[in-house]
Amino acid sequence: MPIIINLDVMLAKRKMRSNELAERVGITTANLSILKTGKAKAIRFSTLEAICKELDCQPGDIMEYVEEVKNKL
Amino acid sequence: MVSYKSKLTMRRLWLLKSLIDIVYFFAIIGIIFGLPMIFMIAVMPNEVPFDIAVSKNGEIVENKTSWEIIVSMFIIYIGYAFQVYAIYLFRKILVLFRKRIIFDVSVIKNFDQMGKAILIGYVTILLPVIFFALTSSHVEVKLNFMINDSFLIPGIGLFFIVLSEVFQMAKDMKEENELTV
Repeated sequence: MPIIINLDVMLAKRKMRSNELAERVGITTANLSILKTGKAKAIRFSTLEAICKELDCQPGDIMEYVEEVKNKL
Repeated sequence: MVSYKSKLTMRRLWLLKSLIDIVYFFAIIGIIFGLPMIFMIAVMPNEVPFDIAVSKNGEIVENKTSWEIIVSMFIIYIGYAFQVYAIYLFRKILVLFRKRIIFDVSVIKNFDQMGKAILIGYVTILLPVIFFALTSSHVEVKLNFMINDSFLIPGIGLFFIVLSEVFQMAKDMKEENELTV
């Protein structure tokens, strides 16, 4: 997927642990793990808002668009 | 309320499973005794305790075992076996439903195979019917039979194939919903 999640980078910058963020945001650690590993198919605005609020950042700080490289045979 | 509905669904599922079990039991009897009977007709036609007759418009024209009848019976037997396999797959699906495995790859695969088995069985059974219709001079009677009885069976087969595709879509949607954070 061309959307990359940089949540672990932001967590390291803020020196916050995953379970602490999950608790503050109000989602399960399993769901946060899905988000961190890039397995998530969608993110609710309410979750994004809560994460940005807790990490004091912008949505662009935790996710970025990287163009997919197509393998030419 | 949800629990009550769930209990009701489980009861209906149990009822359906019991019904399919009975149908499957009788269908299996046909499978077990069908092949030896065809073999007996082919090898020892005089030992068969009943007459095998080919009739045209209710009038018996041939009252002996010919290779045409035996081959036709064998083809019908194969078609019947496909239909029994479809019932077996349906039983498997119902067992999975009882285990609350609904939008799963195995259910989708079983629905698809079931639909295909019904269609293959239908076509296989239809072959001898078409053969006898073509060799008979009274085609009108045969066409009437085909329209009256047989459109329901391919309809059911196609329904299960479509159902498997719908279940595939539902599975994808469920996955997407589960992976929404």
